[in-house]
Amino acid sequence: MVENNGNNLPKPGLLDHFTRADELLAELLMINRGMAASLGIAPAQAVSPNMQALKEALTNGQTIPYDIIGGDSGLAMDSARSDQQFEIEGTNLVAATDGDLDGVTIRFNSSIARPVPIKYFNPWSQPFFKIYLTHTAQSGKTLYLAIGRGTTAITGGISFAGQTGGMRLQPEWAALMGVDKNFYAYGSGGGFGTGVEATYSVPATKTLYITGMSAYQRPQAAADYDHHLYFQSYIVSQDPITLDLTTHAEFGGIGGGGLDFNKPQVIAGGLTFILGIATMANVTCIRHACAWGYEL
Amino acid sequence: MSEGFKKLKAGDFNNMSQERQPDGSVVVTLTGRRYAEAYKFRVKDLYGPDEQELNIETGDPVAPGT
Repeated sequence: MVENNGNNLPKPGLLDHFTRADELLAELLMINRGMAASLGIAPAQAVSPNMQALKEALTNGQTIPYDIIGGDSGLAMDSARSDQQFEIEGTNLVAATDGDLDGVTIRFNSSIARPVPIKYFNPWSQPFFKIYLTHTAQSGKTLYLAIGRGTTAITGGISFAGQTGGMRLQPEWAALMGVDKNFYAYGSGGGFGTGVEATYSVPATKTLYITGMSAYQRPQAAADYDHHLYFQSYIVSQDPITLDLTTHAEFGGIGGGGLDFNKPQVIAGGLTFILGIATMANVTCIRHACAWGYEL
Repeated sequence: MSEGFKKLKAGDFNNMSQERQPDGSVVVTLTGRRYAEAYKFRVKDLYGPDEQELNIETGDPVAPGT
């Protein structure tokens, strides 16, 4: 909105400043969203109709603002649970136990959602309407799951309050999620050119990612320690039908060595993963080879 | 097929070691963080056309279904 100042030139009015302020706020919001996206933080959501209804219900006393599953007694952990379903709605969850949170996982909202190891995500700060609880048996121990309602995103604005963000390399994340894979092949006997292998057929629905390998050998007899200890180690993937080798990573050396890959070696489901070490020494050796990565 | 062999086929493990035996078979040991037990078994021609589980001590074939 503008006023006429007598020379027909527009003159800013109060509402124009408001409009500019709104534009600046919108630009700031866009910048914040861009930063959040670049950091891998889930975009914050505006208040949804459901959350607005929840806020009103909390304000009016129609909804209990928090609850503990199992009440004051909590949940006895004497018997293991496997995806036990609890129909309970909340915006955050805090877990506590006099036992161990290792092995306690929760799927939120769906029985096929990825299980969250609650030990590492405590508190959980995303809305949910039901949970699937899994834990190992812990005799005499109790699990308390406090369900909060209404503390997230009811301020009506954009907020990261209550959320924590972090960055991990995929192999680290895989280890936390329990989908890491470690392979070890070893054996003794045999002379020049002989080797040992570990094989694994990757399930058809999964993909194996190898991120590192190591190998070493030593003479079987103490009297042979003055010989050279050349070896060749390798990882390959093999088509079980055509026997074609489709993935290779190899290194040789004297005695031992290891490699961390800056790009995972990818072995598709259905292929056979082979880890091996062959001796090029002219004495009998004990051989070891390792490979590690994750499977999704 | 032993429980451990089933876990190997399903990929249900975090750590696997294979020890080569003089007869060409391998002794496989599996562990995983989703279970407390370690599974150890012996297989001839693993993933090959003549794959067969063997008695881990004697190397004799294990009857199917046991």
